[in-house]
Amino acid sequence: MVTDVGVDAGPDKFVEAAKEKNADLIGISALLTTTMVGMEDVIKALRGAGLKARVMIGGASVTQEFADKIGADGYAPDAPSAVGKAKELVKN
Amino acid sequence: MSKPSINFLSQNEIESIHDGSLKVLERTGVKVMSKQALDLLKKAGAKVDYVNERVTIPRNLVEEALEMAPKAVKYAARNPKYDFVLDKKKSHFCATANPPLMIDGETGECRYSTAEDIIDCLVVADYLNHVDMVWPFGTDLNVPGPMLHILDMYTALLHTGKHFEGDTVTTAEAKYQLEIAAAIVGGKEELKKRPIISMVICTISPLMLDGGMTDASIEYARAGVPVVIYPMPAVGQLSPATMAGTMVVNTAEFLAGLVIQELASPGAPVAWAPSCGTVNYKTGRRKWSPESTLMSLGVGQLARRYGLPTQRGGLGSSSKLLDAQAGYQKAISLIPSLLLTPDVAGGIASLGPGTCLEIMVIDNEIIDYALRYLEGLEVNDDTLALDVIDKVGPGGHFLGEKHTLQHFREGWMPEITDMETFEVWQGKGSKSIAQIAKEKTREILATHKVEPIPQDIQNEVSKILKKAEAELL
Repeated sequence: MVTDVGVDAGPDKFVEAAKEKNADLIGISALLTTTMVGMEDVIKALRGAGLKARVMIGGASVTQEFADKIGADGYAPDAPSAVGKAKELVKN
Repeated sequence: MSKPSINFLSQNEIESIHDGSLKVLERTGVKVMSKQALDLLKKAGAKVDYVNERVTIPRNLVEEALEMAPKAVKYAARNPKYDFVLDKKKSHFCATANPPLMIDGETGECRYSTAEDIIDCLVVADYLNHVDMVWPFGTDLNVPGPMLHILDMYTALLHTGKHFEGDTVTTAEAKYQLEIAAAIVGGKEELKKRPIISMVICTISPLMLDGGMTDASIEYARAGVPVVIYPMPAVGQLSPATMAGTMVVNTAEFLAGLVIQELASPGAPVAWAPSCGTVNYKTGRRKWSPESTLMSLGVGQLARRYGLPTQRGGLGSSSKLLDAQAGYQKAISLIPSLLLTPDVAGGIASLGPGTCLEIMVIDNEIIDYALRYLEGLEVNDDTLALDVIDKVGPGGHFLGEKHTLQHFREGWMPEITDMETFEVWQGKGSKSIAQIAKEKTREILATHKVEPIPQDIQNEVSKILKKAEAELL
């Protein structure tokens, strides 16, 4: 089941939704560089809240290198491969 | 001079799109995530649902806004010789790069941009005769988020004398950007007369306006500084899977943004940047296509009907290399879109997913070629040259004629395009256009000096930046 937290969602919104839905996997997408730098804050907030869910990221401005740097569990360059990556992360 | 131009949608078709957009605004409405904007709309007579941030906009508000919006907008520059006006008479060009990624056109390597990359791009943009304005070339990821857009702007203004257009996502950013720009140009009133910056507000398709961006655009409107409303629906993804439907969504979002701008500050300078995108359904990513150019032209006709300036079309390529694909995509996407004289066309420096430094000289050349094509040709007694034809007669030649001497320099000549014979080309090293572009770029970087901002102004800006850091970080 997919929950969309909508646009302009800050770390608190992600944490709240992840707790409420008992999320296994959290996906974050960014186009602008300003929102891209916010991804690390979201990951820190999720870990800080003790959530064990896996996190994957995507979007035009991000790369595998960036995903590794901010501690994301996964990255995918486009929609179809994101599906594959999501399945892989949830299975493990 | 008779110039090539294009109008392919009929008056009825244009009116259908306009009327369709009005219906969308009246029936479906838009979501506006800014209380300030909702208040302005409510006060003007629109029906507002504050809980869901939804508003329906009656057509009289749209008609009033269209009436109030100026039909010519000035874009000034730190170096006044680069000032220009968006008045539908001439196309200007923007380096609309793709931050934060840089592409090496030779190897296809893709990496994040550095501060040095950004400066190199700005110096080349400052030099090239067909770059009239710039967007941020890259992103220095070492800069903290809240200072990013402010520093993007200042870095650009430091390293080029040309007009800068950027992103602004909060009121605070807008205030500091406007304060810095005013300091550089000589005060708030001067900035209003000669806006050396402008701001892009991207709507969120379908039918949503972001809160922070809308609030920032209101600051810009009140400062008399141009705002470019930039809807980016994507066919079958963020708008209907048909071109006309996508054009309606684009128009409705633009009109909603325009109404807000004119309510915030009657007579606010606005341009429309209708980006109707097509999507590669295999990846979900946007792609350049014949359809995106067609939609750009169609919306361009509607913008003509409104009398408003547009920023649309340009040189786009999904290649990752300085290769044939980059060349043909860029040329094919640019030339038709110029046939309806967009005030600003973009795409210089963009390549695939990122920014490419070396492609700028190629983009400049393609534009140069296209502009000559668009100048058209003159038919009169002198150019018909009947007396010269008679004088030379059958089997003669025209090389020695005075008429030839008077006119032969009118023909277009390339700057970097290779047109040599095989032997001469081989003698010069059998270079590809990619190599030539790299060499030309290195030459520009080694020799071109950008006129700096005077030190006293730089000192003043440093104080404003410290104030910004204290408030925002």
